[in-house]
Amino acid sequence: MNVQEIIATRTLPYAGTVIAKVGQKVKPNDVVAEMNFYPGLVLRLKVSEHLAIAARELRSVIQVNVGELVEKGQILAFDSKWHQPQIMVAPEPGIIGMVSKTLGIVYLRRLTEFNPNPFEVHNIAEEFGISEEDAANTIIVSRNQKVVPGQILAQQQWKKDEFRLKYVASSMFGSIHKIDKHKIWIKSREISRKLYAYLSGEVVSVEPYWSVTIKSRAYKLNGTYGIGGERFGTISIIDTEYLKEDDIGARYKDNILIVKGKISKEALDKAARIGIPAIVAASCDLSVLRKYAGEGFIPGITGAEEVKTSVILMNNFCSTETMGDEFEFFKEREGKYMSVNGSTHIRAGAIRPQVLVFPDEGDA
Amino acid sequence: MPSFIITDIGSTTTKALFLAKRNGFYRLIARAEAPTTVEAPFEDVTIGVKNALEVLGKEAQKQFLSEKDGELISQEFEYYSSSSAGGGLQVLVIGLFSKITAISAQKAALGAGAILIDVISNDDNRSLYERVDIVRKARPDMILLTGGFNDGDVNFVTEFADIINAANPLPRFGTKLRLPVIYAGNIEARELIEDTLRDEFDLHITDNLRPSIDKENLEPARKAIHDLFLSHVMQQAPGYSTISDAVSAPIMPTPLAFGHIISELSKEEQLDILAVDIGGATTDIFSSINEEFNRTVSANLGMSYSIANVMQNSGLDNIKKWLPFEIEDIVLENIIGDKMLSPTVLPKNEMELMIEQAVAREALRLSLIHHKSLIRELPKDSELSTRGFISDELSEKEWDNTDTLVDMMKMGLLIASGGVLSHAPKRNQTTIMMIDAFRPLGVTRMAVDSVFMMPHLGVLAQKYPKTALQVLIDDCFVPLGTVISGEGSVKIGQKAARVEGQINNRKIEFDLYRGNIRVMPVSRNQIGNIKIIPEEGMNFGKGNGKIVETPITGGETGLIFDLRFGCDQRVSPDIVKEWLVSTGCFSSEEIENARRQARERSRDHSN
Repeated sequence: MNVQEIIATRTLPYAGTVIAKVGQKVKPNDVVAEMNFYPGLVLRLKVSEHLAIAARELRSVIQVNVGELVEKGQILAFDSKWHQPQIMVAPEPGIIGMVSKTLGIVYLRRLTEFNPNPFEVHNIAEEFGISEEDAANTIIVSRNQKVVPGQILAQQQWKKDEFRLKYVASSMFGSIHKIDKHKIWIKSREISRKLYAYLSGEVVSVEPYWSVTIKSRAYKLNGTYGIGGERFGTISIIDTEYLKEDDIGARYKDNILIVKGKISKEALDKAARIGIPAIVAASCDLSVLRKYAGEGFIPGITGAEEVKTSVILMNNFCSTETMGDEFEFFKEREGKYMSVNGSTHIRAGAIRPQVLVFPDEGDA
Repeated sequence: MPSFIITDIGSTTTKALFLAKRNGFYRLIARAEAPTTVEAPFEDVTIGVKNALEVLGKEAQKQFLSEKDGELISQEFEYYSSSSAGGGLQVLVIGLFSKITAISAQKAALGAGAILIDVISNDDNRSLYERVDIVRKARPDMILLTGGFNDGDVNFVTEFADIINAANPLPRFGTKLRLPVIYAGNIEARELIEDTLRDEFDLHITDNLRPSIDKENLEPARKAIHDLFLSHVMQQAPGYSTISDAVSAPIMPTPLAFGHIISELSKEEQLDILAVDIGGATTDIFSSINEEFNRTVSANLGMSYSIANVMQNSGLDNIKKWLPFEIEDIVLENIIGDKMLSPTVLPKNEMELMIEQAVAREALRLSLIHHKSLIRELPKDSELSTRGFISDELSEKEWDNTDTLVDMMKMGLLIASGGVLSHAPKRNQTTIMMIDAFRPLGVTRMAVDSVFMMPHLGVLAQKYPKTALQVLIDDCFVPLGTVISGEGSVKIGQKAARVEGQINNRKIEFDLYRGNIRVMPVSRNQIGNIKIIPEEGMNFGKGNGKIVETPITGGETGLIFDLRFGCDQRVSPDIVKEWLVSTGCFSSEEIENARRQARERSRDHSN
């Protein structure tokens, strides 16, 4: 197997701060950029209504541009047609998302700070000031549903035939963990604000606020199937035909395990508890992976599962064979840095899980 | 009358047919295939078409390609084509509410033969940021923007126009061109939409496809999609302008062509039709009900790439109930998982074939549920509906109260198409898979598209509908037979009806019992008339206890009387074995082989 040159651009999902510099040497676990805010709630500011102008006149009075970061109190629009200045100011800091030509609305993206709490609890009865029974009827989310900051969890739309709208919204990325009558528990989804290098190499270019491009040298292998996203660590070998719970200890934390044979569900759960970023194995029963991946799993399109430990299989599910030459390859490189991505798309133009081993870096 | 060359330019294969007159009738003379050349390094579909036509020419011993400069096909032939290459016609659909305008918009786009990239609606639980992100990354061929009843709210739909504007998506082909957007929403918002989108997009305004809660008007939007497909997508897709110049009628998206021939057949024969095309990744269901054409696509239900998704959606128990053998769940999951990982590998033994056919039944069943859920009556109570339009909860209730338009008792014909159905080792397997999954009621004819030529005939039917239908019947369809089934309160094991009649001058007379299936071999050339005399409590199409008299036609399987379902039948591997053997799907020996293979696989796994 030959070492290949890999050039990859690492991009933030939302504009933030690029930390890495051109020419800088990076390892897979180095942070190269980070988001400053979650892409979250949008405020609709009815500027034309506020200034008592026609919606189409907004363009002539707007003082900010799309993409501009505005401070709280900053003037967004200004008009003086009533012989005195009429202004609309930003009610809070944010980024100008869109300006509607026809509705007279400015869409302000709120700067949603990262929420470090593992849970968020809403008592809907208290927040609406209504009875617990009535509150239960206003909840519009269901268990296991994913939510984002600003997403409505409960709403009151009607009262005595008179239209009104009141709502309770999430302020974190998460999923609905539990609903008990009038109370909602949201469990935080572990969205990292950090963008890691994933590769071991050199930063060759930078796009401010968004991305870095890294040039790397690596051995590249493809698995047959995987789950979970990008992970990295140093190679640790476990020479067993069937990985059991007892085979794994805390010493393997932050190591990627290379397992000669199959993986048991118990071992997978323990790996996640210990903090093992990924396991590369010969095979695993599909039923184990389905249970491990949890609800909403789509077997044909993987990579987005919220699992602690990514899994990469080198053989198919029915396989009773252990890993052969590949196992020897990994064994010779124990201690080296390695990155994996379990994303698998089974379709025409398939994406198979990726395994990268960096020859120049690591303890060995 | 001319001879016809017809191609279907698929994602991977270009399939060419030659039809010409023989003894006064058009017949399929030759068929050929070549790899499609839409992708790099070729990026010109004409190369694949020429390759297919060269092979076709050799088969038919004719010269189809023109030797004149700038001409693709020799002038003595008429040329037609359908296409799904390069991912087909990809449309992003935006509607106000998922169960009102967004559904109507989906129906319009799917009915025009489109593939839906995504459906965005106000109640889709996505944040504004996510919607912008989806639109930005979509790279569709066009956007269908709808929303609002006429004289209803304009703000929501205008906000969606703002989202499109902010996202500024690029078209899939021809990055310098403006992306086509079709607006088919509230007429009151037209001016606002024009003001918002006219400068940056190729905006086309058509009639509101959902002018009120109880009315749909899908045809203008479908026509706009098709026109744009021809004028924009086909002109930009690599090599298509040459094909467009050569054809005698417009190129059609493959699913539209497939649906068109079904519509023509439905009109000609005056019957409701349900057709399925089950593929590796998706399953399309087409119906023609009261001459209204419908299509739905179940995106994650297919027999290779999506086979594990079928298992995930249906559950293992639903798959196992179609198997004549016991198998451990873990082993069954791994076998299905491996089929997903190696989509082109065919079943290696009887057990794998039976598992594949069991999954197919579930894929078909789930796809029909999806079809029924979308093809429904429109709500009638407009006052309540308008309130429902505002409140998600009410609109959902309103929608759930409407009935599906897909009535299996009224279906006159079921058509099977797609690998697992068209290429099943025995035609009886196709018949029984279809019956198990769709559970037809009353008297229903069945056929299978044996050589995948329905899209070809659909595109030909634009100009020659009678010829296309004649070839469909003579050379495309393999009749499977007629299935007769009833529903009612008669208990399992009890007499449900008496059958009397004549087939080819042979008198028949017997009783039908609830819980049983009975197959009578009747070939495609045999005809007959039968009378079904139901017991009280049973309905075979005319009502409770009412006699049904019907002509019947045979086919590869024949005449099938099926009363297995709807009577609390306890299904076990032995019962399934009995069904499969008595219907001629598998022999006892084949099933015993499968049982042995399942035992061996379970043993291998536990070792």
